Amino acid sequence: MFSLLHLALRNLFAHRERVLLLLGITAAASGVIVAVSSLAAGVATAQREAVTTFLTGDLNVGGFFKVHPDSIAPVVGDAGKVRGVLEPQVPQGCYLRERGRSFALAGAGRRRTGSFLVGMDVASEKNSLARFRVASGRLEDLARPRTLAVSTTLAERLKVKTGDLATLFAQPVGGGRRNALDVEVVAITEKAGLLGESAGLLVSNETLRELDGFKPGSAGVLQVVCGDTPVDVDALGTSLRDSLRGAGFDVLPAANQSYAEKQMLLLREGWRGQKLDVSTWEDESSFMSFVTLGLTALAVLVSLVVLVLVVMGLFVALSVAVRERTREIGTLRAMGMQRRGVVALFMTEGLLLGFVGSALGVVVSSVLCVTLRGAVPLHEEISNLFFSGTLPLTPNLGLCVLAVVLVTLGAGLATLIPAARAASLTPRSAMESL
Amino acid sequence: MQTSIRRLAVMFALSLAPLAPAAPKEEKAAEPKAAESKAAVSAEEVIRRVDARMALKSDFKSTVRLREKRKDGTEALLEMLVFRRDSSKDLLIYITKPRNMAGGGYLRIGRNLWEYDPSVGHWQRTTSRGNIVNTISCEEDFDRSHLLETYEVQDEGEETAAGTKFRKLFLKVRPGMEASFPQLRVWVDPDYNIVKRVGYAPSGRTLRTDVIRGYQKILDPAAENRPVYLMREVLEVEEAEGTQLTVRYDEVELAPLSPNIFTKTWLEGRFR
Repeated sequence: MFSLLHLALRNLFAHRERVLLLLGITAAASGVIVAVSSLAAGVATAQREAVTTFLTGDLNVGGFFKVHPDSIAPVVGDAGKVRGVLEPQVPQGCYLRERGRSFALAGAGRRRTGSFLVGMDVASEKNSLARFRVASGRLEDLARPRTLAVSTTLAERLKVKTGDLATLFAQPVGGGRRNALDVEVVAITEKAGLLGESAGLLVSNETLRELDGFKPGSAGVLQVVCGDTPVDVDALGTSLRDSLRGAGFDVLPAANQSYAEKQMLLLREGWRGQKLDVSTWEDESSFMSFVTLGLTALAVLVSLVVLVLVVMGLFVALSVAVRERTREIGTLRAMGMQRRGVVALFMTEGLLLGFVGSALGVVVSSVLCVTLRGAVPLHEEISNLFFSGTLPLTPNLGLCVLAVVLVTLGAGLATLIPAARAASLTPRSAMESL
Repeated sequence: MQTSIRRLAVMFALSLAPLAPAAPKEEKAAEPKAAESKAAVSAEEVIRRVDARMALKSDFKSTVRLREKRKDGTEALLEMLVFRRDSSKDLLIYITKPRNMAGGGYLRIGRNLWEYDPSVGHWQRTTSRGNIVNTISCEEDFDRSHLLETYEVQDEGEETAAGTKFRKLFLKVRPGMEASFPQLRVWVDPDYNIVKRVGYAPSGRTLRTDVIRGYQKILDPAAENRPVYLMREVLEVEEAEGTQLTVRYDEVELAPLSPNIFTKTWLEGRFR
């Protein structure tokens, strides 16, 4: 085995030009695979961060209230009682926060733009506030009544700055009459991908209650936030559903949909009163999963194409090498090397090429990804899709290992047929080629 | 009211100010300077007198005509009837022209301003800053003058234009009060008429500049024919959008109005 490896290495050093070319091909292939998968992972991370900052906790206990069958509002009427059921079950390292859910039209002068409205309890959101990237103003000022934080995207559309005035228009539940509220812009938040446009309005829970006509003590949603604490949200969700049902609440079954999607479906139903809904962060961001799914599919497709190219390139190069090395192979056979030995020799060469090349490619690509992370600004449309103003690249050790394994196996696969051809040569053919 | 030549010159000079090309940077509401001269009348007293000159005991009715010129060259002409009862703070605006908007209007009930859309028969709540009939005007333009109860006043001294001294005052909305403009700067002539006012956002950004082109003297029958001075024509300029709005208060009548006017039913019934 060692002698075979020694022989393979000597052969590789003997044909430096060809070997460098093949190393370049395998390195480029693994580098591309790592770059694309890093982008997919980076976007997924940025999306989760944006979603759990703006829209959702790791687990959400929200509700839908129907004053009459033809109207619906995303609100929990008796939030205190629900909180009483939830608090004992909040895992260690997690906490409970109250958020509000609504949709509003924001106006400044004659400009209007619609967006989901998020209510916050600023006083108890010290940890969460740090996760918002603020372009100007202070999110803490949302504690004042009738104040608004608006995303950069919407601020540009409304042409407002910190300290300016805006008006929020909303449709209170069951009333059919639009309500309006003059608010002061106290902060402008940085872009957060698609959420900068679709959920770009932040107010305090009190302001949201005033705008939507909800009574004090009601809440949009109670969110369990765990941050870096690992929690099985599906199991916790099931447990919370059971507890809430035990406490006499009508709880909706689990569904992989955001609250807005559920609201549209529930509006068609003919019941009235309160129903609670327990959802995970993945459920709430399901309407945006097309981004991460699309990028994952793209990463797989690019990897497959690259692998096919590597296999074909190596196959052609090694087939030529076998023809060039006929005399050498014949000599080895004449010296007593078995056919299996010849196959093993060529396979070792191919696998070595694949492994060394892909490892080099992975290292270079990972270093590049880390260097370029956060340094390459993106065009607005792309940044909305990627949930980041700069190129979000997150190299992952598992994906790097997978890239090395795939390219090495591809190289081995490409070597199979040329190796078999080499093994099929007889010592006589070597004599004939002299 | 007979207006003197000098006063006309002052009005003309002041009305040219907002028409000047906009400076590259927006005008900011600078912190009020200390009074440059010791005026005989305090700033609060000036504002009290301004309010008093426009205070009505009678009910108010006027045909208000609006002419709006936008940056893109489009022009809109509107006409509406404004009914007011200052004693109970009632206000109703009834749009009469153009035809496609006729029948709509605004009604204030308590502290809420409601907008009526006759095409669907819907009432929707709007705010004091909401654009009346989609122009740059707002509720305050048609309401009584209540500057002293809404704003805290700071004196900024005197400013002379065309030989006339004007009191310059900076007004900041009182905590808990609602106003169309959180900050105002007003120029008051020796007769206690506001000749120019600039509204600012809390950030200091200029929201609107108004030049009051003229007043009309009317006798208030409910106050033993005491003369009141109401605005006749106002030029409102919003530099950010490049919009100019001329508001004319014509055919002012001070006479008792039916209490039924200040109801949703009255406005809903107009269009039928």
